[in-house]
Amino acid sequence: MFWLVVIGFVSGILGGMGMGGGTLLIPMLVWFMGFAQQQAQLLNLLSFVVMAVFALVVHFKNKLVDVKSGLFCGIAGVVTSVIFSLFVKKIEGGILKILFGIFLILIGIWQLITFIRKQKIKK
Amino acid sequence: MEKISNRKKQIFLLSLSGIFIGVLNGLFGGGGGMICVPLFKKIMKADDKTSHATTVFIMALMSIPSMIIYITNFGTDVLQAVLVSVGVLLGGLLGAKLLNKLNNNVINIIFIILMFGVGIKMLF
Repeated sequence: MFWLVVIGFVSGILGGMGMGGGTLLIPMLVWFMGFAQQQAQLLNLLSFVVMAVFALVVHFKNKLVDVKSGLFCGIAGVVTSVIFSLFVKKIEGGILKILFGIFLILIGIWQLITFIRKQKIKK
Repeated sequence: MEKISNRKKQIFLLSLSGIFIGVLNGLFGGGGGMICVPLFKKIMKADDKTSHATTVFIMALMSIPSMIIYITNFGTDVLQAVLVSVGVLLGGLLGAKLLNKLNNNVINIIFIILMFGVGIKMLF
């Protein structure tokens, strides 16, 4: 049980550095704690919402949030998010895990390309 | 007239991005933020701080309904939820502080390696 805090802590650090903490929380929960993919995803969503509440208090205080633009993006996203969240129930856990893995690899490739481009620009 | 059509374009792109990010949020319960920050930055020509802060706002909007659906469909253990949340909160605080101290390139490289390593492992 204590390990849940540790895993949350580690992925929180990465998340705090803008490295997509959730993308590490989910695999860690699955491998080290044996959670099902869906459960891990649920815990990620939940812990993110909790953290977001606190973070947003600060961000709003600092007037960093562009609410209008955020709403256009966010509300459109709520629609698809709801649809796909409902859909997850019909996907088998193993397949969802593989899809997630492919997603991470794609992110890695995209980040790599961006990184290489940045190095070229420097030169 | 320029300003009006620019804003319309932004709104269109924001909505389109939102649709895609929503798919990730619903299907994977995460990862949307990573796409949202750079997209928002590009579309709005915003600075890093605004992009990150607004992304948290956007992802919170999407994550609340999806979280509710996940809990309804799969159920969760309250204790587990609390423990993970506390960990993430504390880690997030430390991470935000560390962000200033590490070299950007180092962070990028670590992240890329993690994505590939973890992603490949998930396939098996």
